[in-house]
Amino acid sequence: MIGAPDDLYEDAACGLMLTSSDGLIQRVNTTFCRWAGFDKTDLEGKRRVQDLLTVGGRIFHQTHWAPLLRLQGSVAEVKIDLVGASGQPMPMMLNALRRERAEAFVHELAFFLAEDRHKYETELLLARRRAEESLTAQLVLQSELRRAGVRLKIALETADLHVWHIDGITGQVSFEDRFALLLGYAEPRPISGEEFLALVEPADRDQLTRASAEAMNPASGIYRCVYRINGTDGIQRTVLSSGRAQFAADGRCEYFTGVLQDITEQRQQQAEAESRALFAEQMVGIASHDLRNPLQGIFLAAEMLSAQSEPEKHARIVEGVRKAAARATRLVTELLDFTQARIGRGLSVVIKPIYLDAVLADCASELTLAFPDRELLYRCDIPPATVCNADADRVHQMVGNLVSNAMTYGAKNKPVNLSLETAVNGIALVVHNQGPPIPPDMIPTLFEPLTRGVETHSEKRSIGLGLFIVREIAKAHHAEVTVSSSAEQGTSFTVTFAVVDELEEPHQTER
Amino acid sequence: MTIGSRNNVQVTGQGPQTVVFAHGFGCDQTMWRLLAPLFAQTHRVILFDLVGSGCSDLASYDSEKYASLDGYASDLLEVINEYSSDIPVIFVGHSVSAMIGVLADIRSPDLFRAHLMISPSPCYIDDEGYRGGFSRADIESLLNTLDSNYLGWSSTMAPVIMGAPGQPELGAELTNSFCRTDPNIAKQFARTTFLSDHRAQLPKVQTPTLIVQCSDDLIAPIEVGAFMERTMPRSTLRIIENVGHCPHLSAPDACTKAMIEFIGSMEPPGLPSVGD
Repeated sequence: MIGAPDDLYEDAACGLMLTSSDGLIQRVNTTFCRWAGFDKTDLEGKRRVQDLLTVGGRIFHQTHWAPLLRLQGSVAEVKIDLVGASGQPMPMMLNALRRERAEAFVHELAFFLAEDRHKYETELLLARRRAEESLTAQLVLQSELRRAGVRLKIALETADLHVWHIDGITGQVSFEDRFALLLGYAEPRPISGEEFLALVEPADRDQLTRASAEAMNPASGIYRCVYRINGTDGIQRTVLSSGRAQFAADGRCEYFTGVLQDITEQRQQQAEAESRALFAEQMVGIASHDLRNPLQGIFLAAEMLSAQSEPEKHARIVEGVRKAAARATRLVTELLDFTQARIGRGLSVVIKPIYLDAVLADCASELTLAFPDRELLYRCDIPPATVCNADADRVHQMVGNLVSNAMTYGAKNKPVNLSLETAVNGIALVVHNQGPPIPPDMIPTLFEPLTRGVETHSEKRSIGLGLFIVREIAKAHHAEVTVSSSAEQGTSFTVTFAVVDELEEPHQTER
Repeated sequence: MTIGSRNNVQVTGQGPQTVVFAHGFGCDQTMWRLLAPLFAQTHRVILFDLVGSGCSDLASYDSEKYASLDGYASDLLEVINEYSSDIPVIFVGHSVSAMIGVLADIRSPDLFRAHLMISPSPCYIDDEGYRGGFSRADIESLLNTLDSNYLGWSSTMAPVIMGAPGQPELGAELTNSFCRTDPNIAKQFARTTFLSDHRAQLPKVQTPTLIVQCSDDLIAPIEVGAFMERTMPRSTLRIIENVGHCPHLSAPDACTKAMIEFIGSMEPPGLPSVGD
């Protein structure tokens, strides 16, 4: 049997309602009343449909679906929360039609319970909110990661570190593009493992192999070695390569990351520092040794003096003391000059216009006395009134060092020649001796401190600062020192001074 | 992006006086479908959508700019300057747009000849000595309702036309956008609208103002109209018999009558006002 139309209305599978245009309920079916928990009499003619909604639902009704219903004549699938008699909100779906009946507009509404759909939608909304939150968190993370990446990049570039990796699974070696700079390329570019290995100094390749083996040993994992790279730009660079491998639980290498640092400059500085330290040690040794002899002489002479009663012998002993003291003094002066020149201030000079030949004549006579067993020939080939800008005492010292050097290394039976000659750029001061020539490989470092001739005797030698000081004095005078040496011509040291206009009246040099 | 496409500005009608219509929270300029054609017979009529609503350019929605009604007021001033051939204009604002008009007027009073406010409210939340109609919890409840209609009202699914007999049908292109908003924009607009308080701005408006108050309006209770009339120096209150918040839809005749009468009572445009 098919039910009567009224049954279909009253007990329909949805709540049905007829309202006037302003929402006042005119008719409502049993299904709706059962769901909402109201009696028909409570609703019909008494309540408006919007009164059965939550406050939010009422605003939504006023601002959204009521205007829509008026303009469009219908709405469908509106989600609302109905407040039943119990006060509990019930999620409902609503379809509505606006229809003209008996010259007035009425609204026909159909409600469907939507508990399950509501739960499902709530879950969807919740999931969407979670997805949005995790997306936000993800974006924050990404931006932090980006910032950390930038910071790391700046740090690496500032420290001039070049990064490389080995994929633990494929064994593939990869270098960051900036690595190319270390290999002598002007711009960053991709570099392959083969390309890199080809540029490593062949003598150093074994070190790399050993360091790699050490890094792959799970007990260590540390990679560290220093090797040279022959750059494509022709420059050899020394690099310090360090890194660490990360191992999985089963001992397989998962990652390896390393950094390379160009330590060429540090290496050079280190070598220089080492050489300076060695030099200082040697010099202290020589100075102590060389000071011991004259001091011992002075000490002995003093004892002899106190024991000696014959006055005629005093003069000889005193002369011995004077010489020993002079040697010790010269040694100390040289050390002071050296220290001054070495710490970068240069030698102190007081430059004035002087007559160079007068100074040299004095030097010659003094040095003749100092080397009584030897012959010193002085010759002046320049006009007598030639004026130079120079420090007379320093010129004295320089000539003394050069003549002493010539006496020490020159042939003992031949004279040493001291001369002033006219040169292209001024006046040349030449000290010449006969004898075995200076070995050619010594010439380039001849003026460096602690350079000594081969056949030296402890009595004659100085601490090897003589020629160094000659060069420093010349430098202070903007003059140039050159040396020429051969078996036939003998050895000549030449210092060239500039000449001053002769009109100027030179100061009287102090003696 | 031009102002015209940003706000989906539509201009109709001709006349010496321009009337600008601004819709309220929820829908778009389609709300003026019953009123605008009447005014267009004798006035130049400008309709537009607030950014974020209807066919406005959603890409222009800037959550910082539209966090307060000031952002919308700036847009309104731009629309008037761009599209109004004569100034000052008569501004018709529904609901929240009436307050957007207040803010725009305070910034550029010379642009406004009159405000016609339909169901306005300067503050929706109850306060000491003031009844706005809602509590903060009620507004939260609205936000939840907006959320739960997210599936039905956003994306591609427009409210279905069921084809009620004897009803003029809207064009498909209108139904596709009408009352449909991006849920995030809708929620922010709801917050901006319902949590705002512009009571302090009302006394600053010197432009003649009509307040159309419905006799039974959930969103703007009857006390609100009285409060506004008391607070605004040159305002007139008209209460019309209507249930609901949209008298321009549910009581268009009464609504129009109040508006026309108010316009008629004002001095004709162009004449210098005396004694102000």
